[in-house]
Amino acid sequence: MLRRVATTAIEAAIHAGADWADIRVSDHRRVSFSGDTREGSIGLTCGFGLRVRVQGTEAFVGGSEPTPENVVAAAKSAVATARRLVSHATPMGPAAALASVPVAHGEWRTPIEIDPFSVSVDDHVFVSSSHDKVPYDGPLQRAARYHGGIVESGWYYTSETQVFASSEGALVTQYLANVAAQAHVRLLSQWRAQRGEDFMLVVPSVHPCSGGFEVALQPDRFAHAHATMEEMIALAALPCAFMEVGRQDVILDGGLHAKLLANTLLPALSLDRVLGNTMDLTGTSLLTPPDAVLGQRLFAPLLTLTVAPEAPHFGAAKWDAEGVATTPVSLITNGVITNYLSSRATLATLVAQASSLAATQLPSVVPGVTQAAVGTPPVEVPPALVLAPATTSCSLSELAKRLGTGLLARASGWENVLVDPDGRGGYLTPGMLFEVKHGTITRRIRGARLMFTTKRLFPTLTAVGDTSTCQTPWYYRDLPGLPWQEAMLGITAPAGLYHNMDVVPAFLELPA
Amino acid sequence: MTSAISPASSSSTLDARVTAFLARRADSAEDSSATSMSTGNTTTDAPPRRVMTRAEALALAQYVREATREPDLGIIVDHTATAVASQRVGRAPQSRDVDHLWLRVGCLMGSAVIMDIGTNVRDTTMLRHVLHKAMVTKTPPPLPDPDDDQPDAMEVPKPARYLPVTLWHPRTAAAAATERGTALTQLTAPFQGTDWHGMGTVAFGERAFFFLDPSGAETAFGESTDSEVSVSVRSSDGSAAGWSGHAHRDWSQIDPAKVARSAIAIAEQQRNPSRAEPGRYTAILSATAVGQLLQAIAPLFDVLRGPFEIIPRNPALNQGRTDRRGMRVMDPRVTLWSDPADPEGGDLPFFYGDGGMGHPNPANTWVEKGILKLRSVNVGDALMAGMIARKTPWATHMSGGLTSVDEMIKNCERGIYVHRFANLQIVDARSGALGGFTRDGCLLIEHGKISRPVKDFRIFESPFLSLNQRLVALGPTERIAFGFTPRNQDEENPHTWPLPPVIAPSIMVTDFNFVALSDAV
Repeated sequence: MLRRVATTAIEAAIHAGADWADIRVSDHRRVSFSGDTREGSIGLTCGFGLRVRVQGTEAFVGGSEPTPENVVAAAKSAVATARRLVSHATPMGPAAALASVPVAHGEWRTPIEIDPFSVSVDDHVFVSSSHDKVPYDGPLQRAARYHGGIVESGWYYTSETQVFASSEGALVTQYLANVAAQAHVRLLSQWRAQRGEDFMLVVPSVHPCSGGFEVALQPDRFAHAHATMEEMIALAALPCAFMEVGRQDVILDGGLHAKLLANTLLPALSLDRVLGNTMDLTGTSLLTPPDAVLGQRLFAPLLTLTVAPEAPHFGAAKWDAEGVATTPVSLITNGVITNYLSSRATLATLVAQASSLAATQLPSVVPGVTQAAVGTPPVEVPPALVLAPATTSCSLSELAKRLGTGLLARASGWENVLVDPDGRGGYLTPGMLFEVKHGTITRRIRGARLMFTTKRLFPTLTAVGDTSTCQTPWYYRDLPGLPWQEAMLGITAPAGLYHNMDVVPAFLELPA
Repeated sequence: MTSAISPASSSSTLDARVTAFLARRADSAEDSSATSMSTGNTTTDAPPRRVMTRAEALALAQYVREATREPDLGIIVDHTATAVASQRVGRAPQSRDVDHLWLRVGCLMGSAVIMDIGTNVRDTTMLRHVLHKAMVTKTPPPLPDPDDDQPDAMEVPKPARYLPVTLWHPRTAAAAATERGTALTQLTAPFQGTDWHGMGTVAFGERAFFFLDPSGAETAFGESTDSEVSVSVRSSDGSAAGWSGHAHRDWSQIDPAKVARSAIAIAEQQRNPSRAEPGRYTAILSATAVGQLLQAIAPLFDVLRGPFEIIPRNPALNQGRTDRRGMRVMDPRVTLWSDPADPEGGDLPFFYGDGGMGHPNPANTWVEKGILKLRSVNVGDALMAGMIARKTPWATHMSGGLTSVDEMIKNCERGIYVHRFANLQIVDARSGALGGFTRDGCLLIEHGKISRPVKDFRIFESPFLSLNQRLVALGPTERIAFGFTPRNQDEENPHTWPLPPVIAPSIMVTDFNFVALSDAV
């Protein structure tokens, strides 16, 4: 049915006068539960997103109810809108081309074991709440009770049937399944609340990924929550102090490191931004102009950032939202910018405009990194990225020894990253901040946050942790363009040691 | 807005009404495209609205209630349609038309688990299929557990009175289909013959929101239109920038060419900016900048957080906190209010977020001549605390004055003019301190004149302090345009465009904290 709708739409668009068209038709389901509550939600969304081009002008129409009648009407409406814009627009350059791509055909499924939509609501509630009922024993049980230690988790399953078709003859069907999950340990005793203290630490083994209900049944889930509770109680027992402003070497744990990348380098690498196509929407990019960026080492040699389109990474798919085959393309290799996140249109524009770039510097293929929410156009935001961890052993405690004296910033789920619209700089307020002296955590720090300038920060990455320090935090981002749509991203990063970050106050006045 | 309705009609009648709506929409889309293709010009017939009428939304909600057989839970129909066009100067324009429906119903499933079902499907055949898919996971509820001490669900009080509001402008609804091309021409034409890079965006929105309360006897319905244009300008070396925007529910009040000329003029003032030393300055903030501050601090009026926080349910946690109602918290010249019937902006007169869907939201005066009068509280917390529910003041109106920006500048010995901010976030809820950035550059003022353009700053300041003892002057009010930048992940303002309207004046304040330089443009 969805395939018939897709091909009908393309035929209608060409018949109406479009020079080119593509469409995404989706049947999207989600079911979510939060730990030990008797509430959940189910979402069932159908939609289509049709793009047409008339003399280089692009019109998009998105809607629900992907029926043949509706998409035919949408195709005619889109072509009419494009024609109207062409007739009214001020003189402009030659019609923008699209980078050519192989015409895609086929099907693909996310490998899953248990379809979450075949599981009863009662079983969902039982399993999600069992994550929060961690069986402690002995001293840990007493300590958890004293500190009001609880585990909170959230489970969000999605299943999407997505059909892509284009006027070039592409027709692909993908059955995509993802789990957006998170869990954290929290200390909620009354006496802590009265002191205004609320400790939370992420359980790193529960994180967004592709897959089905089997993800929630991992056998070692209690062990990870156990270890995190022990660590949380130990950290909460440390003495507390306010930090003086200054410069410190700082370890960012995997969760904070991932969020920092998501807010700075990820948007900066979007070619749409680099080319100025979004200056009135999301802003521009600090990684511009391309001939000063591509092939240049702008960041530390330890920085290698790669798109991760394969399972079990979140959002795994064989083709992206433009029907382009996904590839684990490297964006930054050993600190050298090797690629931008581009679409068919932006890559064609880059190739046409970048006369000063050598052929070897220009990306030769469309990287297949676009995604589209149901009923909205594709955008250059890959669902998952990975920052390469160290290949030799380097745990968080080993990083702390290497740090010597400085700060350790941990993610709790409440941290935030505030950057300017172009991602040139901003602030990182960790969930928890600790002082490290001679490789040992000595105190909790309150009232401080970290200030950075992006281009000066990333060259100072002096060490990264190994895979044991990797985290994939729960992270949502508004996709660029109207209407605003949130999308979850799975960004995986190890802990990182940065040199000389500015430590600044997080209060206007220090609390009494 | 509220009315008692007759008992639900039969399924076949409900089906017929919903089906008729869909058929009407399909026909109108064809008519509209056929007309515009044949003439290539603005159509003389106003196209029909893109979002549901009250009758259509009611029919759909009643159909869903019958299909799910859940009599005790409310149903929401939220239908938005946006039409956007943008053009980078010198490149081909683009358009984005999106129709988004969200139908939401609560159902008891499994062992008395409350499931919130959301879908965007309206076709009755498809809706039956979709609801069946959702309900297939339902298992029969067991006998009640006598030891289960979970409290019963709270009764939502009967809605009182909904304020009559007029937020729908047919002119705006018509312009969405026919005037985007013209608007883009007006937004980009002023760039001809200049060396500026620019981009213009025009957007139209329609919204219909319907709530059928659990009893089925009361409903809330609201409809609105809105429109906004903006222009961003950059120099070729990226060192200077400008921006201007205008938002109005009635498209006939917007002049795109004027917006474009204003953005270019601001950019011209920003050529060759230099650095100024960070620190505390007298700040002259444009109406846009003030509106951004007001929206950023809106959540802090909540009774459960912010500088006015009181926790009614747990007095033991209120040590050191004072109920500041009746106390002076801002300058006597400041009055802040939210009125759904505000002719300059307005809002839907009921909750459609913040809990308590469909619950009436009255007009609220938050601060009157500097005295704190009210705090916001959502429906669930209001019931627990014995308070009247009041929506977060996202749509708000601040009193103004008569001092123009030029007069403020003349009276400023040394200060900074800020055109707008970016990415404002609450950093410290207790003091109301916001972190963020200025955007599109600032102007240094010395000895009563604009001295030179300066680069952007990071800011760290509490508007509650600025509007209390540091307010020097206020200018005339205007509805501000927020532009089309989506919120930062950790910002708390609403997630949908168009954002609730804010009407604010320009102001002059002392000791505003420009805490550090920023590399932003």
